[in-house]
Amino acid sequence: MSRTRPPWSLPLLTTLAAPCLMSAGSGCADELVVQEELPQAELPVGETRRIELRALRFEVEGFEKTLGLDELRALPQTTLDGVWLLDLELSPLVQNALTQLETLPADEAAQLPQAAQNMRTLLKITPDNVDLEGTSLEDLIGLSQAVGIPHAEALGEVFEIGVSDKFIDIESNTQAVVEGLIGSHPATQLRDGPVDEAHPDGKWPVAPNSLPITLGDVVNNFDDLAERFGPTETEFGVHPGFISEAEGLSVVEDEFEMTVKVNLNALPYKGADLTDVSGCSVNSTASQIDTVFPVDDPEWMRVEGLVPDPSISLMTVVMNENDLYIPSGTNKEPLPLGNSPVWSLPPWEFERVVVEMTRLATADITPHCTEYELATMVEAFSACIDDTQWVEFETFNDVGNPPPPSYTWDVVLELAQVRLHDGGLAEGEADIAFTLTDVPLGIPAEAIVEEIRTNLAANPAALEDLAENLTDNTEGFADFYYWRAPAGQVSAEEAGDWLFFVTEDDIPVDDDGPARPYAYDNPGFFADAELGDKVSSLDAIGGDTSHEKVRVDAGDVLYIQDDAGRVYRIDVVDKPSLKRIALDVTRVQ
Amino acid sequence: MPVRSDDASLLALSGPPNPSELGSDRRRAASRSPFFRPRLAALALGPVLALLWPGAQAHASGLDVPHIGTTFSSPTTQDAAAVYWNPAMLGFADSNEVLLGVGIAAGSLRYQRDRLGAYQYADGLDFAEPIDPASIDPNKPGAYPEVRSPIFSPNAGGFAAFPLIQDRLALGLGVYVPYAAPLSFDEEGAQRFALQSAFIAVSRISAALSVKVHERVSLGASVSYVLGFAQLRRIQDFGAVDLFGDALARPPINQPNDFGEDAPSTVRELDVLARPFALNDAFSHGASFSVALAANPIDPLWLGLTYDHGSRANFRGTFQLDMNDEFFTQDLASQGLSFPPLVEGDAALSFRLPKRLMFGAAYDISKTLRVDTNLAYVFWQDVDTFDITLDSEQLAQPALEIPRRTTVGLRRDWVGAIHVEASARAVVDKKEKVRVSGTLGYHSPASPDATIDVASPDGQRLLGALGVAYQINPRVAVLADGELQGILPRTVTASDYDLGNGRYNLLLGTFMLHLQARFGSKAKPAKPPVRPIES
Repeated sequence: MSRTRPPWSLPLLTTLAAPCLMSAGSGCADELVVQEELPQAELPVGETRRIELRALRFEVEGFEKTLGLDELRALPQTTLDGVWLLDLELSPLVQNALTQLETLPADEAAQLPQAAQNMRTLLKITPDNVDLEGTSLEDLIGLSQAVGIPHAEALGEVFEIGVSDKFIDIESNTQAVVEGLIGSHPATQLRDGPVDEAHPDGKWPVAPNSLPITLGDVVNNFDDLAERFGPTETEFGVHPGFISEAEGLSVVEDEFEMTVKVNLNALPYKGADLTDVSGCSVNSTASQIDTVFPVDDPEWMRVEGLVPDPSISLMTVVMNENDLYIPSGTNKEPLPLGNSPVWSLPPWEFERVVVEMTRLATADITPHCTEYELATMVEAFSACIDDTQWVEFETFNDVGNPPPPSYTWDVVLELAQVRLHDGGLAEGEADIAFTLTDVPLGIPAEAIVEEIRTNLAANPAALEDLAENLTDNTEGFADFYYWRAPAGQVSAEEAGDWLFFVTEDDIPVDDDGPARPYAYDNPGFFADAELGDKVSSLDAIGGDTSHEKVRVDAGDVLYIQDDAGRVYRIDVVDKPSLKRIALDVTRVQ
Repeated sequence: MPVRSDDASLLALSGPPNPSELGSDRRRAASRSPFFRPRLAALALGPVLALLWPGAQAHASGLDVPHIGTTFSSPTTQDAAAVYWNPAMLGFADSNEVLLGVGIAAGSLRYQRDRLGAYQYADGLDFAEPIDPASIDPNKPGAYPEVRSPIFSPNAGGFAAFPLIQDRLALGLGVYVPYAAPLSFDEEGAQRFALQSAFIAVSRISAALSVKVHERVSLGASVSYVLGFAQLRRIQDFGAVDLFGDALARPPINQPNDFGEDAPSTVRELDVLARPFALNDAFSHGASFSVALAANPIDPLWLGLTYDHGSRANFRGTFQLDMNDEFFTQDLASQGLSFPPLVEGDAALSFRLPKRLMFGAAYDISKTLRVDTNLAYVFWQDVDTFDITLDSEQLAQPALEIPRRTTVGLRRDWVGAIHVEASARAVVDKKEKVRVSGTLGYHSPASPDATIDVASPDGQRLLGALGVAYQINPRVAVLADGELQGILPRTVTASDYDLGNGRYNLLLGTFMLHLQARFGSKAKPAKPPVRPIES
C-alpha cells in the first residue's frame, strides 16, 4: 500500500492534523482491528462459558459446482470411490478384445506366447481347418474318406454350420468369457454403496456382466483395474483374475468437467465443541441430501470431456487352464450336461469356459441325423444330434470305428484341450495371457453419460460425500449444532430452536478416514447429569430422523456428554435475536 | 458567515472540497463563518462511502470551514482575503496587508432515522424478493433514537496582499483550511450504514494576481494547490454492493439476487453483510484556478464576478474492510468466497468538484454604511459520478470473478444550488475605529430527498453572521466575528431504498479572532473619493 505524502507537504499536513487532534473524539478514527479468536483451554469442571450460535441459511437454487480433473483428484479418494456412476456392460469390450485377438496379423500373433497363439487358433477354428489329430474325432477322418467327402463337411453337418464357419461364434465366445471368467469375479458381483434397509452391509449387486465404475475410476483412469480384477478369494477358491495388466483405460479427456446443480442451504450449521465451548461448523448437506439434487432438471448434472469412443490402450487378459487334462463326457447322463468332470471346475478355468461357450453356440442346433453312403449306395455311417446336443456317430457295414458319442461341448472340449497344448505345451503350462492394445470399450460416451445421470438421479444419496465435499465447510469438532426451520416452512412440530446432536455422518472423511472417531457413549440430550433421562429423540424434524434432537427455549436446562466422557450442563439463556441462541455451558464432570 | 448548501453538496460527494473548486461564493460564506459546513462532510464522506455504497452517497451538504477571512470579507471587499474571494479585488489594494485568524467551530448534527420500508430480520439472509412474510421483521419500520454528532474544531488561516505596481499589479498569497468535517456518531446508531465517524480537512495554498486594467476595473486570477485529508468509518452494507450481487449471480453460485446499488430495503442491512469499513489517511493533491472581475463603475457601487473552474479531487489512501464473519471467511470457501478477516489495501477516491459562478454587488449608501449581496450558482449537476477504486490482493476472489482492483462509478443526482446572501457593514463611531458587519443568507439544497443521508445533511439553509472590527491604530486592527447557521428541520420520506428517511437537524456556530496589519506605503488613490470599504 502506498500513500501519497510528499515530504514538502509536511507543514500543510500539520495544519490539517491540528483540528483532528484538537477535536479528538469527533471524527478522527482509529484503524479497524479484528480480534482473532485464540484457542481456549479445555473447560474446567465448574466453569461456565457462553456461546452464541446462529441459524443463518443461504438457500440457493441451481447452485452449480463444476469440477475438473484437478479438482476431482484433489478430493479424498474415498469420496471419489464412493460415487458409483454406472455398471459398465463388459460384453462389448470382451468381444472387441476377442475379435482383435482373432484377427491379429500373423506376424504379431507370432509374438504371442504359445498358449495365446493356441487360444487364437481355437477362436478361428472351423470344420475346414480343424486338426482332429489326436482327438477322438480322428476316426471321423477315415469315415469321411470312406464316403468320399471331406471330414469338414461331416463336422459342418453335425454343427449345422458351413465348413468355413467357426465352431464357436464370437457372441458365444464373448458371453462365455464374460459370464464365466469375468462374471465369477467378486469385483463384478458386488460393489460398495450406501447402507440402507435393503443393503445393510452396504453391498449392492452389480448388473450382470458388468464392471462397476466409480468417479474414482474415471478421474484416475482406472489405475487400479488390474488390482481390482486380479486374483482374489472366492467360494470356489482363488479366482486368478482376468486382467493382469491394464493401461490407458481413459474415458475422460483433460478438459473433463462434471457440473452438478444443487438446491440447498449452502451454509453449515453452527455448533459447539464442548471441550472448550468453541464455535464449530457442521456441513449441512447430508441432512438435505434427499432434496439437494434437482433431478427433474435435465441439466442437473452435466458431464463434458468424455472420450467419444473410450478404449483401453493396453490390456492383458488372462485365463488359466486346469493343471490336469479334463476328459470329456462319455455318457449322456446325468442330464443335461453329461458326466464330464469339467462341469465341476471353477467357472473361470479355460476348460469350463470352453464347454460353456460351446453349449451356448450349439444350443440352437436342431435335432437331426445325417446319413452318409458309400459309392455303392450302401449306408456307411450316420451322425445324429438330438435336442440335448448329444452327438452320436454310427457306422455300418464295417466301414470303421465311429467316434464315441458325446455332447457337442465334450467334442469341442477335447479338441480345445489338445490344440491348446500344441507346440509342446504340457498340461498346466497353457495358461492363456494375451496383451491387446487400443481395445474399444464398445460403449459411446453419450450412453455412459446418460446412464450416469439416470443412476445418480435414482440414488442421489450416493453423491452425499461428494456434495459435502463440494461445500466442504465443516470446521472444528462440534458435539451438537443449532437448527431452525426455514421461515415459511415451519410446521407446529418444527417451530422454534433445536439442538441436534451430531451423528457419525457429520464427521468429515478424508483420505485418512474420518477426521475423528465417533466415540460418543450417550448421544443425545438429557435432563439429568447422570444421563438417565433422555429428553431428545430421533423424531422427524426437518426430514431428519438420524440426529438426536431437542427443542429449546430460554430457561431450559440440558445435560450432554461429549466424546471424551465429560458431562456438561447447558443453560439456554435469552435469545440475542430471532435466529440466534445463547447458551451457557458448564462442565459438571 | 453563511453556510452554503452547495458546500453541503460537495460534502456529500465525500471528499474534502477544494476551496478553489468551491468557488468564491463558497469562499465568501466561509470567510464569514468559521463553521464546518455539513456539505464538507458530505464532500469528504460521500465518495468514500460511495466506494462500496453506491446510491446513498448522492447527498449534498456537509460541513464547510466557512471562516475564510473575516465576516467583512466578500467578493466586493478589498482585503487580503480577496485571494480567496475575488482576486480581482486585490487590484484595488493600496498597501501591503497581512490578515491572520484563529478560532473554533462548534455545533451538532442530529438525525432521527425513520425506517419506512420493509426489512427482513437482520439475522437472516434472504437475498431476493419476494421475501417470505415470515422473514419480515414487523418491528423494524418506525422511528429510531436520534443520533447526534458533536462538531468541534479549531480553525486558522492567513493571507497577505502586496501591491507590486501602484494601481496596476498586485499579488496575493493565502494559506488556510477552508474545509473540515469532524463527525462522530454512535457507532451502533441507526445511521451507521451511512456514517459512523469522519474527519475531513482540506488545506490550500493560493497565489493570486490582479491587474488593474482601468482605474475602475480590475481583473484577477488565482491558482491553488489543494491538499486534502480524509478518514472515515462506516458500516458497509454488502447487500447494496453491485459487485457482491453480481458475484453471487454468476457461476458457480448462480443465484439471481436483489443485492446491489438498487437493492430494495428487504435485502438491506443484514447483520452478516454489514461489514465495518474504514478509509484511512487518504490524501488528495489537486490544483484549481479562478478568474475574477471587479469593477467600480460609479463611486458607491462595487461589482464582483468570479468563475471557479472546479477540479477533480483524487484521494489516495488505504482502506480496511472487516470481513471477519464465517460467511465470508470460510463457509463458502469451496465456492471461492474466502476473504481474510481483515482486508487491507489501497483506496482511491475520485470525483469532480463543480464549477461555480458568483456575482457580488455592494453599494455604499454613505461613507459609513454599505450593503452588499452575493448571488451564486453552483453547478452541482456537474458531479456525475464518484469513482472509487479499491486495490488489494486480499480482495481478489478469482472463482467469483471478483478482481483485486475494483472501480465503481457512483452516480449522483444532485442539482444546481442557488445561494443568496445579503450583508450590511457600517462604521459606528465617530473616530471610525469601530466597524460592524451583519449577514443573512439562504442556500438551496443540492441533494434531493431521494439521495440525502446523514453523511450529507443538506437542506434549506439559513444563516446569520455578525462581526466587529476595532482599529487599534492606522496599521493594526483586531476583529471578532461569529456565525450561526442551520438547516430548517428537514423531514425526508422519499429516500431511495429507505436509506435516508427521517429528520435532519444541523446547527453550527463559529467564533473567530483576527489580526489585520497594513504596512508599507499607502497608495495614492487615483480618484481619492473612490475606495471600497476595507475590512
